[in-house]
Amino acid sequence: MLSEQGKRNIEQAFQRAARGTVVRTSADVCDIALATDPQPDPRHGQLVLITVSSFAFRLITIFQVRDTPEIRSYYLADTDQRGIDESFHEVANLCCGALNREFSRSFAHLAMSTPYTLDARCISYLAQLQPQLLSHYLITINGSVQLRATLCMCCTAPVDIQLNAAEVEQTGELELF
Amino acid sequence: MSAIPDNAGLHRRTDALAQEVGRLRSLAVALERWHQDMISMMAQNRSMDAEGEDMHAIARQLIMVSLNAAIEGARAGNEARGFVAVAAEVKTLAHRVQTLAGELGKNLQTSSLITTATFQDIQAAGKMMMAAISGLEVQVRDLRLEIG
Amino acid sequence: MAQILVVDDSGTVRDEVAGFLKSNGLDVVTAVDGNDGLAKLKADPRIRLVVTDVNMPNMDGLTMAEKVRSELGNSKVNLIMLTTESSANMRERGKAAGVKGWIVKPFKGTAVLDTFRKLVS
Repeated sequence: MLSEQGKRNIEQAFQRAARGTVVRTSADVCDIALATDPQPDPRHGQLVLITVSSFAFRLITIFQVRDTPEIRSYYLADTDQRGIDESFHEVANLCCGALNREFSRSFAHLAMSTPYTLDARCISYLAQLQPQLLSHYLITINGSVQLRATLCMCCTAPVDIQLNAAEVEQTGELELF
Repeated sequence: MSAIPDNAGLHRRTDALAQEVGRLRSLAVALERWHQDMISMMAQNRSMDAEGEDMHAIARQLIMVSLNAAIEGARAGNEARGFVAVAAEVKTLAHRVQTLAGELGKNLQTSSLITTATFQDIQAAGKMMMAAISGLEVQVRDLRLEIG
Repeated sequence: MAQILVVDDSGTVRDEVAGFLKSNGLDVVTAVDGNDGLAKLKADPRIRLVVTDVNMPNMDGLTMAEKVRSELGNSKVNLIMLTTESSANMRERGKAAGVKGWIVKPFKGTAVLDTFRKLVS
């Protein structure tokens, strides 16, 4: 359903998308490393999930967020009383959006869901979705802010992934119709 | 020389095509129905999660109660042998409830994950299909323009 | 009297966009999804510009745009999509719904302020 090269292409595309979107400013340093397992932390943790769907596949991006002082001070203003998962909904939306746009250069029919929050323990059961690709990442920002992410792809027909990182993306400009 | 197509026939066909594509827009109605069902399922999952947590808490308390009962029974001596036996039985049952609550918790988490993933898949795929219909409508419009 | 309606399920985005526009002298109200957006637009028909996300719970931005024309009968208000979506088909759906323009997130206020001012005047 998914070739080894296809899997590598998707993983690289995710890392490109995450690098540009999990950081608050372009001056921040973002390190993304493959992790061997998700290590859910049920005491503090929640999952933010978001899905990109096409006919032959669904690609789920999952961020594990923990309500720690480092994460709060990086992502939220001091006066912000919101739960950390709520502000992560937009981070997930931007990251998945970048991934979606890269995919859409090869797939005409694609769309994204809205993000949802789940208990952190749910991540242990991803195998039930029978994914063709399941990768876990450890993301470190500026050496101190840590988050975990998981990429889960379920294919119901063969999927050929040709992704081209060469095109630089333009965002923020208003295109009038 | 190729056959010249019947222009009126082409117009009729294109109109019929445009109408059919227009009808496909009603897909939105089915999508709304599935959306509502999924929202219900997710609400159900949340209720069950809360009940599962309650069960866990009660099982833990029951174990504490049975341990206390065993202690009280031991203090009371021989007179309370029957009581001590009952306390031991309660402790065994409480442990079984705790194990069951644990299994239930895992099942609920699995259910929440699958329901949420399905909800998102339907939500995203629904938007994709509505956008695809718009794409088709543009093609048909362009075809009509070309036919003249 | 509001000039601009900002619709997005993310509080962060609503704060950022509405905050920027307000600090540049514009009157802004916000909504959290398509349903809320339609209600706010109905309540204040003098709104000249709607800046809306696509992916929102309860009612998405493109469905809302379609209903602004069909259910509210409002053909005057300008609609701009502010979204992470970018597919050709979605833009077509937007165009067919009478959407005026498309911005791919993240929002860059300085790039769009002049055009927004023109659209509300």
